[in-house]
Amino acid sequence: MTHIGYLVAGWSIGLGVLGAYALSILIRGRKLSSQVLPKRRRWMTSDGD
Amino acid sequence: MAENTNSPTSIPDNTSSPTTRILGWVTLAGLALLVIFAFFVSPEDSRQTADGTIIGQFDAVRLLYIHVPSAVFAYVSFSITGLGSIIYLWRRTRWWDHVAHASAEIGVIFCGITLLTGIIWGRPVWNTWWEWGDVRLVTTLLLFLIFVGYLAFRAVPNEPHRQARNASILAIVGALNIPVVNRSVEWWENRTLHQRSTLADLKIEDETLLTLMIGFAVFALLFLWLLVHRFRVAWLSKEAAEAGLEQALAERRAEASSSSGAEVSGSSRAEASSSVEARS
Amino acid sequence: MIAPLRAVALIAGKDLRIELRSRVVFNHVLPFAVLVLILFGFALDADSDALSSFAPGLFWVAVLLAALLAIGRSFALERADGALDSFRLANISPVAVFAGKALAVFVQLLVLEVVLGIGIVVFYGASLEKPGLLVVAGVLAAAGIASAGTLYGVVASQLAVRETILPLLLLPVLAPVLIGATRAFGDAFGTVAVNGWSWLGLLGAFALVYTTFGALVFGPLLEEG
Repeated sequence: MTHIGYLVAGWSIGLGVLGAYALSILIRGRKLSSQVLPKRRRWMTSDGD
Repeated sequence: MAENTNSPTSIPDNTSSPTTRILGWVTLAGLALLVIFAFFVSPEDSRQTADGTIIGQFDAVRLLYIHVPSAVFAYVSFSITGLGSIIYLWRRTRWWDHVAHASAEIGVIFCGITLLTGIIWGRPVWNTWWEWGDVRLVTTLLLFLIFVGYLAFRAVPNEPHRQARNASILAIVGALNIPVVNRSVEWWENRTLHQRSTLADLKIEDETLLTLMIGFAVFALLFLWLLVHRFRVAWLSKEAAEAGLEQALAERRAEASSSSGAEVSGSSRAEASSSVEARS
Repeated sequence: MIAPLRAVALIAGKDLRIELRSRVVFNHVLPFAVLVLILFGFALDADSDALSSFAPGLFWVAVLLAALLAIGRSFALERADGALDSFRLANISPVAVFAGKALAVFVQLLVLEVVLGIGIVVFYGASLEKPGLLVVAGVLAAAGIASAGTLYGVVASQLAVRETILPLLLLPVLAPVLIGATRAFGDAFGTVAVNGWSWLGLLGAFALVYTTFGALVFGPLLEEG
């Protein structure tokens, strides 16, 4: 396979960034969930605020 | 996993729901499939010219299966941010503001991946990390910076309604600026190295097109998963900020009534807090 | 209610009068812009060929950096006593406030451009070939920078981090102005073989788009919450 170094670098940076970002969202979500009452965590409802 | 004793109900202590959990696993499986197709199923890019020399990108083409889908979905994300911002200014519902914010953040991530994989791909194929004369490259970089600015603006504490409204205006101006930047860069150098749209290329190999299609499908799922979770994080952080404010107010009220005794109890909050200020 | 055109003249006049008395742009921003030209001289190793051929681009980078300071100054004037709110209390239309602030910045940018223009002739040895093109490009670019700058300036001025966020928000948006104005000046100074006049369309369109859009959204931007 030609350009193997470029391929590994490109794909690992791409997937690495995506993985790290997804993980950071999940962690942020968990942290914030504990600060919000369960009844205010019902998703996708708009209270017209 | 930390169990929260305060919530014995079925509402989870995170941003997942059964649907997003399934979506998440399907996306992960899709990414694995994309890697297999990109590296092992799709052929290298090479063709013979009339005089018999073999030209092409060879295996570097495999980088495009992450570069092109992330570029497309970066532009999708920013379009949704622009659209969400317009709807926010019209309807003024918190829902659309969260959508615009979430989509912009995902767009910046996708756009960053597009730029990085593009730079890495450009080195072997164009023989340069960066090409100033390429319109799409320079436009995408400026788009990236404009939305980095948008996110920086949103990260600064501000009065919530003013922040949402001004951020919407910034997003719309930023999105409007893209065609202007695109035209100006094109006139500036008036040459482009960028590949013509590969989908329109009739000589494209079947597996190449298939792999690209898998890339688009997987990135669509990934975008959806990220958008739903990021939206919920935005929702929660607003709720948490309000809960924190209510708690602080309650503490302050309790402090005021305990320090000034029975004479203040029953009087208005304004009087209670001014009596605290007078004492301190 | 004050007639809109009169309000524009009053607001621009007020800003320029404050400048004439305080001389903050004249005493701080103008010398800074000249300093930038001199720093480019050191950075390019005093190579007179390079300096004269890149003179148009270096000129516009210096203008953009100085414009950031001038725009920041323009809104620093309004910070005391919630002066921006008092425009609303006086029932002055937000369009007039936008136009007045932008007009004052525009005038100051023109003065900056004249001084820096003399600067690149003296320090970089640039030789002017098409004065008409130079004047039109300079005026159109200043108009674009002033209106986009006023639009972003008011957004930034409401934040505690206004000094650091304004460049990040404004400079990517001004990239087309830098490209177009550098090309037009390149032709005016004879450093690149392009038709500079064809770039005036871009500069004019940019100024028009941002003046229109700024006038449209300035009202909502001035409102509370």
